[in-house]
Amino acid sequence: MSKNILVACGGGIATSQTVAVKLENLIADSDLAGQVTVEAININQLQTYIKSADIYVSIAQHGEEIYDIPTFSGIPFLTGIGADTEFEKIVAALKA
Amino acid sequence: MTSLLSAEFVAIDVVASSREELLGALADGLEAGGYVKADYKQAVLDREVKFPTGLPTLGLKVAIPHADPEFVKKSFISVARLAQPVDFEEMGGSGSSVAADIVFMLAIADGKSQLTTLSALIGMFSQEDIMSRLRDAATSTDLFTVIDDEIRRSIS
Repeated sequence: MSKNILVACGGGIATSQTVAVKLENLIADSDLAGQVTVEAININQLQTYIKSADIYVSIAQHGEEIYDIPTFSGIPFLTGIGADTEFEKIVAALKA
Repeated sequence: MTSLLSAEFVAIDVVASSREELLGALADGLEAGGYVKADYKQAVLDREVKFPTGLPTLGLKVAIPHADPEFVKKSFISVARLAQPVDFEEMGGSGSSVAADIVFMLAIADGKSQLTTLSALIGMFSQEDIMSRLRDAATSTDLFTVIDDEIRRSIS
């Protein structure tokens, strides 16, 4: 299994990359180690990248757009609150 | 690696009556320090409306206003702990309000090369003991030391 997680924020600079690092570390410590890549992008690049992604972790507005891949919030990985729960959901979606 | 923090740009008891006033003052400081271009201030204000940066962290509430790299001359982080909380909107577009107690204004010229520092900084937000120390630091020098030590410890 090789899966791709996409993390997008407004600038693609500070927060999405920080969340991507956090997710990479969590995945490295899980039984999915080596099977998942994480990519941080600017929200404007989303339409291009989402086609090749399995999971979308959002730090910007969801807006009206609905994507046909499982979407999660990146905020818990910035605040620490609810991060374990959100990561468990992401793992479950990756294994689904 | 040089630190992105300087004691001179870490302040406590900062008074601001609005988010705009606070962001403007911090951006002016960064411009005077030669870290950002003149149009950084407007870029930060605009970006905060479009992509809010309040984080409902445990203990101290945080905001991390920033602008795109094109407005930055030299990467730097300015820190202001507020005398009274200032309302930000929560990151992620939930529309909720976050009464920020401490603000880290990020001037980042290249996210990739500053990623370890940024990760260390944001990593602090999920550690309640560190957040308590940020809250309890008695002077701006103490506050600088807590943040600087934690970032150095985290990236070493």
